[in-house]
Amino acid sequence: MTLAILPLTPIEPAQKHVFRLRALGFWAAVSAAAIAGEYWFAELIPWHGMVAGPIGLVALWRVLWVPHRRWQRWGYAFTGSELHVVHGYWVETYTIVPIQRVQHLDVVQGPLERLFSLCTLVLHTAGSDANMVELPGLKRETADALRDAIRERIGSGDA
Amino acid sequence: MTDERTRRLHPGALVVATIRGARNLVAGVVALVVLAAQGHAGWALLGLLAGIIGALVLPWLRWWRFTYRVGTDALSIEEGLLHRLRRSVPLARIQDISIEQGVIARVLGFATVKVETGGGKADDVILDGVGLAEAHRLRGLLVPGGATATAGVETPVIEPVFAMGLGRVLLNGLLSFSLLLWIGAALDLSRRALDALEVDPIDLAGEGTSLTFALAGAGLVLVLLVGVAVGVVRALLRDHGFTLTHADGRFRCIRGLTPRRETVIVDRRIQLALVRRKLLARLLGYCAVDFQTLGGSDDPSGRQEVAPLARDDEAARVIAAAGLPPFSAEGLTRVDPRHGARLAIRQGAGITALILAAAWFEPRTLFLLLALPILYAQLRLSPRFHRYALRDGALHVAQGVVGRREWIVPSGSVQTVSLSRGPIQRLLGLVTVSPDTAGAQGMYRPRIVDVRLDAGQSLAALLLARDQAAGA
Repeated sequence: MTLAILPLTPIEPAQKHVFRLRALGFWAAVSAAAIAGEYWFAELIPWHGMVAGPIGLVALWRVLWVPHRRWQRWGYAFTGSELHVVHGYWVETYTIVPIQRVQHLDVVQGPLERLFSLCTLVLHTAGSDANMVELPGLKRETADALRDAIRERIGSGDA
Repeated sequence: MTDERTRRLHPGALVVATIRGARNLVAGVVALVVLAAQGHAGWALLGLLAGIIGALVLPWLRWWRFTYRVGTDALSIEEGLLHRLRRSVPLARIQDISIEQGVIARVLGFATVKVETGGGKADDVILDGVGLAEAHRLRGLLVPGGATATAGVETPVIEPVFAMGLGRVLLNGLLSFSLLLWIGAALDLSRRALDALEVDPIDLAGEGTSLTFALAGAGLVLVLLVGVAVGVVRALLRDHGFTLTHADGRFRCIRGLTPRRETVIVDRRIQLALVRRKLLARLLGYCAVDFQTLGGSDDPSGRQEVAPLARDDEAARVIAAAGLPPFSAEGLTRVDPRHGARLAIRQGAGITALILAAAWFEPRTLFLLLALPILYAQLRLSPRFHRYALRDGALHVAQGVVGRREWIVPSGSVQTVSLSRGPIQRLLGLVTVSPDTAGAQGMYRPRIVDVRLDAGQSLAALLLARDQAAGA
């Protein structure tokens, strides 16, 4: 059973490539450091690959397997008065943002996201722990449409 | 609002950024000269080029990419070279605008405009450098009326909502010393005393060292006495003459011998009330009341103590004065009984593993395992004291076995609601419900940990349904 209260829309499938490239960048650097470390301290290690091996396995898992799972766990629903966002592979989090509580909105695009023509919508509230609610993996039109709908709602509302 | 053109920042901001960049470049150039002197002229030239781009060209590009526009319903901003951001701030959300001028800015005739939206400081929008006339135009456009709320100067003599006499302040000092801390300090000191006498504590039992024992005991008593005295003096300095008054929609809290401090808490900035019942105070029938507040331009943000040591009826009076519904332990729903088992698995397993790992190196740490049953009992008891209810337009949450906490969260101050679960919770079909409020800091949030999934979902929906009814 899922956390979802409403039927959710999945985010764009291309977002998993963004997750994958990000993971690749990070884990390539970590693996390179591990291999370099093994050569550097070769005499301290009983056999080759003792450190780099497990790190390499974790890297493969994070790059090949996890991005797809993470992408699968993302979803959202916009009801007109609330935005529901769910994400998380290990710890799942389902956040409900009442539009009346939105302070301001960002549409952000990092370099990797631009490669796949994707955007992230960010809702800011006055809260403390969830004062920034992010929704990645949106087409630019979708993100803009959502932002305009939310902005209109706030502008007309009696907030 | 006639002029909706997209604008760039004042060119003067570019001058400031360039000066800043050039200053950073100077340090780099020195390094490059050294590099060139060592015969790496090619690398030095490349470095210089990179430095010039970084320090001088990038600010210009950044300036060129930054545009803003005041529309009919929002202030829109676009910025970023690689990482692009388009932000829109609904005009209805703009709380305040501040205009600042540095030295160079004053010479060049521009100012920095900060747009406060009521979120955190980091969320504020900063237009670093617009013309002075433009800054005032923006203020006129973005803050209609420029609501001026000045604090009253008059201090009418009114009956305090809550006050502490000398006896209460001293009692609070007595209770506020942390038992564990002082036991730790006492052990440490007695050990130092033994070290100074060059006695190994292991040998103590063997030889006739009743003198050392007496010394250590006296040291311990002395440390405890000093600890208590310090606690009492600190309480006296901090809380002497504690008076909380309420008038004109604001609390005024005056406390302390030196310095004497005054805190003003505006009613509508109060987000929630927290009643804390520490073990010792609770056994004597006392509690403490905090208000969590959302900071404004002059108001403090975070948790404000409005009653350090109060009887239940006094606490209830303070809470009622804030317009919050009273807390009552009756009729609250318990969280799922498996809450205790999950905590025991999560925390108990981790701590046991830690002790066993430590015992690998130092077998004597094994005696710490004796403390585990106490921890386990506390964790197993926790579901009995973790309760919640949604009533009188507020969420009531109680939590804690030894030290207890009770929250009253008016649904109007709930910003977002999150349901979350980790792997164990997923297995058990449980979730944590976290209502997020403004101005929360430090420990203790009114979370409801481990309710059944369907109960959590309906609670979340209900919390927000009330919120929308209250907000409309």
